[in-house]
Amino acid sequence: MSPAPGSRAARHRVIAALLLPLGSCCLLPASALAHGSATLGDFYAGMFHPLLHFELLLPLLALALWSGQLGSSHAWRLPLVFVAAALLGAGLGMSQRGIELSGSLLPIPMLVLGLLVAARGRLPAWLALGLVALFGVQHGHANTYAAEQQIQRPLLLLAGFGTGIGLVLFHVVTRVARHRAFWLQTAVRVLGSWIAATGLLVLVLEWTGNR
Amino acid sequence: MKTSGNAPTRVFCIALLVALAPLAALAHVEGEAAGAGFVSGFLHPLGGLDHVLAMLAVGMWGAQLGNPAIWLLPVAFPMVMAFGGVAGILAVPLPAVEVGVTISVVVLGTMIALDRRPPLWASALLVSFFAVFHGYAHGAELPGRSGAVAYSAGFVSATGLIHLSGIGIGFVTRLPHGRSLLRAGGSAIAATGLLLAGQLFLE
Repeated sequence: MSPAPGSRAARHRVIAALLLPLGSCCLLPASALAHGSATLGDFYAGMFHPLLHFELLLPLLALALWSGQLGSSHAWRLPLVFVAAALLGAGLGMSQRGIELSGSLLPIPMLVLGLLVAARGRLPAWLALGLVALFGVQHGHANTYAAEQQIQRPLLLLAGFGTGIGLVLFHVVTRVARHRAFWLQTAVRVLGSWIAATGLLVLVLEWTGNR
Repeated sequence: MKTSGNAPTRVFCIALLVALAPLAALAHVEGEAAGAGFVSGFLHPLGGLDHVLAMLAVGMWGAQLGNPAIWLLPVAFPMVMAFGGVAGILAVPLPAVEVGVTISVVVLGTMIALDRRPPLWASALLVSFFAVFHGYAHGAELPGRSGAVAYSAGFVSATGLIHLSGIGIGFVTRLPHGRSLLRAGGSAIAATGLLLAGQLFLE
């Protein structure tokens, strides 16, 4: 609890924490363009693909919020498992030999994780880790399976992908876990509820074949 | 609790930032479709005066009711609304959706104007009534295309932000005479709702 919750310093820290990724999102692609290097291309493609697509960003955000809410050992264990599983899934997706995961399953992590955040739900450790590993594989797979552009350096893409989602997870999880102020915890639950509602709507849209 | 008066402002700022963050995607060619879907979904709930007023009223009423409605409603509302949205997508027959929304405007405005505090379950029921109609109206119009996630996220976050704005307005009660001001606002909403109902009736 350093600094005092609700204090000006704490407020500024949280706002800065939220502005930083926003600012870097605006600046980094520009610097990537400035380099114009094919070597950087795959790294940045891997890094920004999951952050620019709602179907990938929202489950990631929900997982980060949930891990932060749970705190203690979950705060680092769940994100680590997720990133490892996502890298595995991304590798599977690129190999094109892996199982073809149905795209219509994508909203399920949004719904499940969003609900857990909204309800401040807790699960037994084995179930939480298993669920997150499953969602991670699916997330990574979805990220690379439908890659439109030619991937020249798959390892670089994987590195960028891991860095991107790792940074988002680290950033959000630490803020949520550290700041226990009531208003912030409520804002987190509200966000979870938004993600769950989006997940439910999209899930039904998918299942009715309206897409 | 010296700074607690700023809490809703802070929540609002954060929510706004988070909601606007995806707009950064607009700047990128590959994210263009997602960005456009988000914006059209975001603008959709803002387009209908009845929906905006009812949503504002939900927030204002929550602030008037105080704990726990003030924070419970923003958490629960999106889910109830999504169930309404599902009914809309599945085209479950629901009679007179726009009438339902207009009635919500009048009733919610009246509750604020009278400064009534029904038990939590009763107020939750009343708000859910509106939530289902609101979700249905927008769910029925969800586009059947690949931007569904962005569109839904935009629609849900816009609705949530109007809710938070209503709570922000509700904090006028901390000013001198604020409670009366809030009640006057409720009367204005109810009156507008009656006008809208008349318009519906004439059509």
